[in-house]
Amino acid sequence: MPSDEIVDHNIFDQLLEMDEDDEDRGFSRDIVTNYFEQAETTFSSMDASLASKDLQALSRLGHFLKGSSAALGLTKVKSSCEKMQHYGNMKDEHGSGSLSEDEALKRIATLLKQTKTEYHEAEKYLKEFYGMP
Amino acid sequence: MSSAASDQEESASPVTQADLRKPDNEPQSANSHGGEEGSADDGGAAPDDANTLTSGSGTTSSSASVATSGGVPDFVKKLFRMLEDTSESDIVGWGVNGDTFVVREPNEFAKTVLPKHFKHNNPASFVRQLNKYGFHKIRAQHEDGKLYGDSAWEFQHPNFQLNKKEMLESIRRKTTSKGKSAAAAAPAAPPSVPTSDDKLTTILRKDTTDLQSQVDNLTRLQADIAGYLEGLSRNYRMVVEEVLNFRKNMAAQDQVIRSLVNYIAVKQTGDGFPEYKSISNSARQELPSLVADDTGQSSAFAFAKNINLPTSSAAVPLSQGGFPPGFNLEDLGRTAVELPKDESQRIYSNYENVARASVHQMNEISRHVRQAYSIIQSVPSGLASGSPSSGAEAAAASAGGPSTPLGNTNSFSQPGGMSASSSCSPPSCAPSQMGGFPLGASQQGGLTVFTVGGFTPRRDDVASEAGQGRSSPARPPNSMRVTRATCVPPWSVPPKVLLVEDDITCRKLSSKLLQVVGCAFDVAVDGLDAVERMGVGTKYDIVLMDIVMPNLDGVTATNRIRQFDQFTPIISMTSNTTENDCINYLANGMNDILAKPFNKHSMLNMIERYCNHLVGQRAAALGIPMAIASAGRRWEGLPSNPSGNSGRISEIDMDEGSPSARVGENTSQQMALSSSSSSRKGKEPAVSLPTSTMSTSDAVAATTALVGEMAREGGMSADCFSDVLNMSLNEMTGLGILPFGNIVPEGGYMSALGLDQYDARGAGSSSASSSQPLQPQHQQHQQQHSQQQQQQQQEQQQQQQQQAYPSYTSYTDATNQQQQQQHLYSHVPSSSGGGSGGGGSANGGGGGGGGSSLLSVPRLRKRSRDTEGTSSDAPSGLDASSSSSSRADSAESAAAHHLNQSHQQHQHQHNHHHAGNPADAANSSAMYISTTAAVGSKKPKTNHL
Repeated sequence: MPSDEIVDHNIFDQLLEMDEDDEDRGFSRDIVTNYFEQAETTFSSMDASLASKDLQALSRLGHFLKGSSAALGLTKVKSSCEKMQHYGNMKDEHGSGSLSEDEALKRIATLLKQTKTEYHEAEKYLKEFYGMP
Repeated sequence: MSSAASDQEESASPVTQADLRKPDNEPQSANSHGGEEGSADDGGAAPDDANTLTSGSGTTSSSASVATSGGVPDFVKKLFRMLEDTSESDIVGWGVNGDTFVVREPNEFAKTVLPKHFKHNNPASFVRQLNKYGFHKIRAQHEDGKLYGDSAWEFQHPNFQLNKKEMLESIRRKTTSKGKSAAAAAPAAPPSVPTSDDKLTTILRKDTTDLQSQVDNLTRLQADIAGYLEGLSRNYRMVVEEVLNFRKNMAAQDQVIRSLVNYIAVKQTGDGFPEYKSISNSARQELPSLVADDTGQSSAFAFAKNINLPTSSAAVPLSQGGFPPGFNLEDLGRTAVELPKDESQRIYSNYENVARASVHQMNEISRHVRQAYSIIQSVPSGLASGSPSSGAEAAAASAGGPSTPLGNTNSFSQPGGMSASSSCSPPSCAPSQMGGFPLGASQQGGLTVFTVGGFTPRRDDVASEAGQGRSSPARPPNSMRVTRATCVPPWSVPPKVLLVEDDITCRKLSSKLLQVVGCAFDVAVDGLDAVERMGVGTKYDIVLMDIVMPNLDGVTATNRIRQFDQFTPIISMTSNTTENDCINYLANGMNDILAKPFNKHSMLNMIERYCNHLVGQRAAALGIPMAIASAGRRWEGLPSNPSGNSGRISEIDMDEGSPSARVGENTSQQMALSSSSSSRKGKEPAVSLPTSTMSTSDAVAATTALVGEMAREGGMSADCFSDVLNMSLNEMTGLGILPFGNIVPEGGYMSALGLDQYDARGAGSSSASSSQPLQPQHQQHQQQHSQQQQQQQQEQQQQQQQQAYPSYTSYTDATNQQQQQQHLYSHVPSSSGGGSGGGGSANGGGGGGGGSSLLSVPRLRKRSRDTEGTSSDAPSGLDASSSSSSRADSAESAAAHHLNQSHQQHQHQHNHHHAGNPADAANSSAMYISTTAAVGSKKPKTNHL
């Protein structure tokens, strides 16, 4: 499965299936809406943690967002979050090696920006899909 | 308290004793009245020290325990010893008559003597102890004033006398309030009453009380039983009622299906092929990978070539008899334009309503049955055996009338088969409509119907948008595709799952998945919550545990849970699945790892793996041997095999089951073939499979058969069926409504046939056991026999026709089918018992059979005949479509080959049977089955295994 997709449809379609015959896609819409809120909150927490150089919190937040992003099939966001999780643990993006704190923070700063971009991309896509405002 | 009270009455001067001590060795209590007169307060000068008090009572209790063992209480011993010690006789000593003792100088006594003998110096405590042992203080009653001095205390106890140490044993500590009340009761009886009478009274009273309590118990028990029985009968009534209702609904449903069939037949004779437009439309939509215009044309073209078969088979014989092969080509071009949508929509919605109603009905039934079952389960008697079968019957629904004896499994041999076979409509019903098969998933054993949603047409935008990643390509807005996210869970008893997940998104998704796969579940939001839930004793069949959670992470939570629960499977749900992580999880007591993101399939697999016992319960509940039940389930893995064979989807992960993937696979190359071939070949799996489900579980016989039929109309492929039948779960959604279904790949076909084996086996056993009690067997058999002959004639006729006009095959098929249907219906009202149903089955391709399982047998035969037609006809279909897909061709020819083979086998055996046992009345039906079984069993062996 191509990982450069915004949304991994193998996964996302599973979610859509759960809507069954619901014309409004109530279930998945609900989930996605929830995810948006969650992501926004998480991003602001990430910003705060980055400012306070709390690597552990960043790792945790990365993991947190990773889970729900993966559940929705938002591949890019997911892999970025995974990286953040590793950086937060002061490891490289594959979860091995070790980074200095500064290096980790530096990478996370870049990564966070990128993640946000990816997220907004996905958000736009999903909102379009659901006809959300 | 049975010991007699040693009672003592004290009056002012003469001391009256009434020693009611019992002769037995039971501990006694020394009770005294007026003992409270002995005032402890006289020594009030001494401080009432709580600590000394406690120590005093401590001594008391220890001495009391000594007393019960038969010795002299410590306190009394010490007291006696103290008085024997004459060194302090000026302070304390025996009274003048030797029956009292006197403390002459209380102050000195407290200071010097008490500490020496009693380890304390609290006279109040000493006095209290004395009172406890029944000593009484004697007031200065001597006329000459104080005998021993003003401040002297004189104490007296009837058994405490100078030099009479042996009497000390009868000095006992007073018992508490109980003893007091007993003592209070004692004076009520005149002191002159002999001891034995008192004893007798006590015994009698005791006995009376015992009897009374026994009577009470029995009364309560009886009330319970009565209530229980009432509940049972209420449940029974409800079940019967539900069955009746369900039957009504089934009839209505049947009606709708028939009208739908008629409508289509009429439409086809009149207007041509109304449904193909929508089909080709949907084909086009569902081919995002192909160039749009190319797809539309090629598939339409392919339809044209192959369409004649399904349509003519669907049609009423009258007008469609002689279609030349080329006819449909032009016809399609014309008819593809017209769309009788509204009409079909109307029928569809009509149908859906009825179906909904019946699903609801099923739900009701299953609810009641489950209630009843849960009650019955608590009764270990023969009742228990009755319940599953009655449940099964409830599901068979149309089989049971009020006259049907619940609990009799054999009673399936009733008009019941009707509902299944009645849906046997011509195969070319517009798939897009028929596909909207409304029955939810019905769980087999527990009869729980999990309907996660209704079935309404699903707009295609989603699928295509999902498939193409951008918004709507041009497509007709009206076309519809129906998806079902419902699957048939394999268990009878829904596994109770504890879902531990902190992330709301994952939680919602997982909850939904659990719901879809038919689990009962609770949700814990973190590890603490989970531990708590596990700790309060809720029994879960499985725990799905997230790892990274606030408060308490999954690993620690598991660790804690394992301290009190070693057995409940705990599955880690995590995206951190490095080797180290996994080792860590397992080391902490987790049983398995469900990697995130998971889907319905992987989750269900996991739950199934650990809740297999619940699957077993289904079989057990229905009285089906595990071997068969599990054999049925063996096919679960199959879907991927046929798909692998087809070659198209080997690179697509079937597990993901995305509709677009499915559709793409389905339509891209095989569309051309499938229109004709699937409508014919699709029949075999379709017909055989549902019946096999019956043998696996009679419970949903009617429903499942209906599923099968419906799906057959929809041209669902064999592998889809394996899914459906094995109740494996799978992506019904993906299979949803494929307009023309997959071409049935060899493996799929064979796997489908493989199920026949179980079917036949089940049929054999059920016929052997039931044997149609309501109708004389020979009569039944004669009927069967003549029908067999009839059938043979039909076969011959059919063959002739096939030789002459290949395309007639399906026509005769249709005719047969209709005849069978008629036959069936004519049987329905008349058949009051199993017998006539069985008779009908012999002729009837769908004749209702000897119950649901027997039903399968004749239908198998019928299909074999169809097969014959198909196989002989197949080459022409191949010719027509060979240009479209060589790959599909080979699949089809291979399948055709098998069909031929199997048919030959079958025919051979059938002839043999027919010639060899024409008059063998008793064995005929069994033989009949066994031949079918033999045929069925050969196929999977040669091809699948």
